[in-house]
Amino acid sequence: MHPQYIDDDAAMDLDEDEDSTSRITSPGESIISSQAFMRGHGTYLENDQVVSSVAGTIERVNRLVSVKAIRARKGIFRVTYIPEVGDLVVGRVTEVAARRWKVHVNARQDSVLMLGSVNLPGGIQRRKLESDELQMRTFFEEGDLLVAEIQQIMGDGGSSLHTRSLKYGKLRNGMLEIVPSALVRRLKSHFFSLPCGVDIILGLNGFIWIMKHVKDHEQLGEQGFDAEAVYSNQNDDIDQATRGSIARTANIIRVLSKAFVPLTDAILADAYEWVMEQEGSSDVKSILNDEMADQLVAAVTARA
Amino acid sequence: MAQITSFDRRRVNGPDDSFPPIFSDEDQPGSSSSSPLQRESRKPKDIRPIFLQTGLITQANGSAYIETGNSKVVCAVYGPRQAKNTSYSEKGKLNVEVKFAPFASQRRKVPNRYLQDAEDRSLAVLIHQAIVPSVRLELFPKSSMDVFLTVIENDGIQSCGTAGTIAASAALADAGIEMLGLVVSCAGSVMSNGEIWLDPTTRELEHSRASLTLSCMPALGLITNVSQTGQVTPQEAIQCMDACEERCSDIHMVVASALHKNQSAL
Repeated sequence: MHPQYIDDDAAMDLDEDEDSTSRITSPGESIISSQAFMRGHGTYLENDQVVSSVAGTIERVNRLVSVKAIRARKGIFRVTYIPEVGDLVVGRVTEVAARRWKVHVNARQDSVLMLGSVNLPGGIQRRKLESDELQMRTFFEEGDLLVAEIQQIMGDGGSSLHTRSLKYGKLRNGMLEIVPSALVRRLKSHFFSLPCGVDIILGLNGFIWIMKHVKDHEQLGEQGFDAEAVYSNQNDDIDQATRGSIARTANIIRVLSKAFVPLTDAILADAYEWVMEQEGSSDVKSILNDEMADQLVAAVTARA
Repeated sequence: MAQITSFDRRRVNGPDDSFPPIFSDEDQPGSSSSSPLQRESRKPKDIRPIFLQTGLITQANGSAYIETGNSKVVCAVYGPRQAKNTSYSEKGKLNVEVKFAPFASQRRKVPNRYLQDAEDRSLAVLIHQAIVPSVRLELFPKSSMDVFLTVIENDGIQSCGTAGTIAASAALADAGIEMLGLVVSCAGSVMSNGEIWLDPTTRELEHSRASLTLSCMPALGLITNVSQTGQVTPQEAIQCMDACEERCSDIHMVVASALHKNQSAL
């Protein structure tokens, strides 16, 4: 009844002589003899055989055989971020708990943001009251995006965050782009603006926030801390041109991350400039065309 | 039954009970089809063709949609993510939840029941038992992996279990979660005349004496779960298991090729 599949059975085991650079495998398939090869990520040993434990592509570096999972290529998954004190991260609130928020930062465990580590309305140095505990959802709710700094690493590998700076806090007026965390290096500043009126926050966890530019004089000083604005869920008016710039920046990031180009402020500014020089740059989607994407990557890596 | 304990005023609440219409020219159940013990469109050891595609639910870490005949199941995997309960566990936790769409079965089900039906739960247990030996939970301390299955159409409760198992395993692979092997599953029924029919439909199950579901990892030659209901002799059970296991290697190729197709499309 299933003649088309029967023949494939014989092909399940990989011949050693075969070129295995781009072979696709699924869990449970034996890849190669463990006598001659070492097992890498995404594999396990069984009866002197290296067996795949994920669905993905087989990669071989000399005698090391590993399998790269499908999702790892998309950069969403398995490329987890390892938090370190002082890192700037962008995260999403997953849970409101007793005196704390749980924040997803692409690490193995969710980070903790204590009620005591955020700025509350009415002066920064005020005590946290019980009434604050009861209205935690007015500050951050499940699903909210925020930018914060890693304050502390706990013994079990978990981490705690703080937003005790006016630069940190809830995010709005923009969009999130996710790249593998390895692509974001530690920079002098993770906040920067492009000349096109777009601000970028490069989270070290690979979450990148792209938003409408905030004018300096609109950023209030420590005294004029305005809780309404800081914890607002309402976007400002964003004009068409800015929306285009935000989307273009996001597409650039997408293209660069696909080519595994490390992201820095200089590279992103270069890339944006290059895109604007091209014909038909008014079409935001054109960056995603394979041809244009390749050219962009080539141009950026040549300059760097 | 008419007692509505969990009434949800935010949605359109259909009737609690419903019955499929009976048409005057339709045969009464029991005397249906001229020769009930003659399979109409396939041979006894044939299964219905399988359509499987992974990665359809973009929000999920991994997902799969499977269709075999009229049985349709969609599966989404979220995780590994931090386990909700705070207690420390060395191994990861695999949660399986099965829901039937209200329109999935012959009889309409009440949607949004906070407590699952017994049918959903037993199916969830079956699928959990089938796939849990394959997942390398020791690599995910303090994490949980959540598998959500929705039965969109149910044609043979056994096939919902098998399709669910296959979909769950494919979705876990799609999520990039480390596993020892792909789990596939096949069901067979012992008909009242002693014949063994694989992958029975709802109609065929009416004439069956017993049913058996076998889940295995063909790549490793290991069986993960066998579940059997009804009356069978040991010989019949063994025959049925052999037939299922043989068919499972075919199904394995379907799953593997679906994963390969998805992988090369990226």
